[in-house]
Amino acid sequence: MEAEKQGRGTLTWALRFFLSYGFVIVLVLLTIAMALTAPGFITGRNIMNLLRQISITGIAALGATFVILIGEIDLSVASTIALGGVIFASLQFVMPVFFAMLLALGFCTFIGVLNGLITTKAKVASFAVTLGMMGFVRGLALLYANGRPIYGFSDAARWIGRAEVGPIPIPIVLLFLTLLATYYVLRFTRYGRQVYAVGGNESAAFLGGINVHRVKIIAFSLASFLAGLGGIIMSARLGSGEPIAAQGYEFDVIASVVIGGTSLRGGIGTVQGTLLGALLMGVIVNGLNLQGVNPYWQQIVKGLIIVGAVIIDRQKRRLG
Amino acid sequence: MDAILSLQRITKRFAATTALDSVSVAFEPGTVHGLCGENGAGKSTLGKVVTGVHQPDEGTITLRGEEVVVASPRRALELGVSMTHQETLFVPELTVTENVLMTTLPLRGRLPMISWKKAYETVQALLDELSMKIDARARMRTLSVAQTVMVSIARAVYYNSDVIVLDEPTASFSFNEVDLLFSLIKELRERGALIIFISHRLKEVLSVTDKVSVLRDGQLVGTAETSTLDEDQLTLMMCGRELAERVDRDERRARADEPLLSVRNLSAGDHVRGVSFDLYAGEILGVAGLLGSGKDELIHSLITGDYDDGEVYVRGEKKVIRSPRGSQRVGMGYVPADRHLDGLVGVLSVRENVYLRAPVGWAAFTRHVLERKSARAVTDRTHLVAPKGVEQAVATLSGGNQQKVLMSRILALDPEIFVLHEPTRGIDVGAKAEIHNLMREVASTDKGILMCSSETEEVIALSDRVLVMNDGRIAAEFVGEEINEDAVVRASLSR
Repeated sequence: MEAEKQGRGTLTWALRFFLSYGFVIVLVLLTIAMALTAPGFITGRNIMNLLRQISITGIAALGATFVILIGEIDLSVASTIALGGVIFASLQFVMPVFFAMLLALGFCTFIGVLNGLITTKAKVASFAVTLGMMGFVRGLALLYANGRPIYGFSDAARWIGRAEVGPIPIPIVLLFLTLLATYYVLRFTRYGRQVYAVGGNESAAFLGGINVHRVKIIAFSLASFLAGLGGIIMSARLGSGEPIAAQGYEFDVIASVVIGGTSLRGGIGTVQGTLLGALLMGVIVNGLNLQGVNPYWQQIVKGLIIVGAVIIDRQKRRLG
Repeated sequence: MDAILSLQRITKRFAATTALDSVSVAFEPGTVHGLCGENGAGKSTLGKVVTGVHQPDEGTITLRGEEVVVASPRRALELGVSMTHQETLFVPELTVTENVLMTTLPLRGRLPMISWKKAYETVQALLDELSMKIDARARMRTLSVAQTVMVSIARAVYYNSDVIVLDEPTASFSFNEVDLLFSLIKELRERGALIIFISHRLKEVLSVTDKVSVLRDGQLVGTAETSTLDEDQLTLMMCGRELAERVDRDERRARADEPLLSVRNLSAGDHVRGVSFDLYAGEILGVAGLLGSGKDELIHSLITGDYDDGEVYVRGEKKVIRSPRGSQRVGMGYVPADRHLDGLVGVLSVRENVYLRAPVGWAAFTRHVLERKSARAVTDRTHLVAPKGVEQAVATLSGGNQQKVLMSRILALDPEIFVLHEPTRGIDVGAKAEIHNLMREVASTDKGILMCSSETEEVIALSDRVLVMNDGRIAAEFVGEEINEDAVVRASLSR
């Protein structure tokens, strides 16, 4: 009887552990599998390559984590990446790179403020608001760039996409700096606590004296700000601002967040989880590429993983 | 008489906790059988095992002499067993009729088409027969909580259930609604049904039941004829210790000239119409009234600043409140009426719930250590029992302990004015007494407590002064020795 009880306890504990950290195990196993089967997977060069591949969606996903934590969603993130890219590309001709960045980031942040304001003040579901914004911002980017890529980057403007700190490319440095900053905000600041409170129980947060609208608007703004940063990195790396860039990136961004253990209902999740989620997607794409698998398979695998992650989240909540 | 339903050695475990520990009890038809116990004693679990929500790990259920397996709530319904849940589950946007009939809406002949006329008529006839004044076409969300419970009973009757489990049905009732429910329960008993009445409210249990079974920590303490019990004995059975609820009132202290809080001509919608009152430091001001009297709206509009007209003064200074945050800024702390919906963030820890808006300390990296320490200190004051300490998720605590987390939050905020809305709703007697003691302790300092409660007994036992709300206005004010149940009830009923 005692032993049986204990056995049961161990089993639930193991199950819970797997549900919580399962994707880490999957990530490790997948990495090992790729290392064994894909030629050149485990070289320094390829690892840097992989990290650089995920840096843009990764940075955007760290921002999107805030929006999903408060129980909302942002579908406009890919369009905002493109917009950030074209604004930066056009402005770096006429002003110092730093100011071009600042203005591009400012404009993207403004998109987030709008998302937040409409969601909170007009009480429209963020799904609808950001779906509209997704089309609106894409149109804006196309109109602004006249539908064509903006070429002709100065070396200074390319720096953020191409330079390296020692062996590490700047985009990867920025990815990890963003991770640190967002981790700090969520874990150690008043705002971070309020994000979890609003996502966990909005009414309790409101009556507990939290300015719920403010918390939400800031979350949307952060997401758009970081999407803009991703856009700048992308254009600097390509050496061109492309209004049609980043199509479909919202899928990768939201998938990274969800695979990383953030609940779509809000209130549960971490940014370090999001980074691991992004890594998992990166390993799949990179590994399958190296193996020469038909790239359409990547989409299918990613799709399966995202649904699996949501199912795991369900089970986790059920076990408590 | 032969039992209609009997449980033999039922055991139910949830992960590490044993919710029911080898419970055997027999229920007779044509009786109202009370089920009492503190929160976490296993009463609701027992109800859910009987109605197929949970499957027992061990033991058997015998219904009308036959051993049965109640695999699901649907199976229970087929067996004639119904339950009204604490959170009565209906689809709010659908009509009463749709909610009652749900899967058995009548069709028009052989066509795959619902006959709405027939459906409404059936349900209206049922509601009328049970003398419920409810429109079968009304949308569920327009009904009061009491009416929702009534509808779930109507549904039980419609499915010919002769075993009906009522889980805390009166939790948010006012007393005229309680009377209505009780006559309905008696009517069902006349028809030969077994009603299992799960409740914390000892007075109600004593007045409506024929027999009472008491659970403590998942075990059956005993079953007795209600007529042989009084409130003290029942309490003793429930918690295994005697609680002396102190009803004697402190002499009202000499008050400062200036009130802590003054509200003048506060109006909000149709529910609060020009309410004025003062709250002094060192007193507990109770607000009583029926459901719909405007007492809940008064508190809500005061805290959220959602009032149309009127003025609020704190220590004589005029203040404008626009949000709950605003009310905190002027010195008010608030414990909301519904701890699940409006109070706690279930997925967060006790510590995080106590410091929900603002974490402790300024040095970011030492914050969690500091915060854990202060959270421990403040939860100790409320006698919070959390097996895993302040890092435990609040969703896993019992109702009484959850309420203590909310009390800890307001203590940590340390406002001048404590606004407590239903401070002890649906919690066990032990926790209730502890919260009451805490309130007295707070009021003995220079703080003021504004307490709004649907439990008249609570208002009477605790308040130094009582305001009775009726039809959006303050109908009466009682001070000190004037406060008694009769006076308060009369004032809340008068028109």
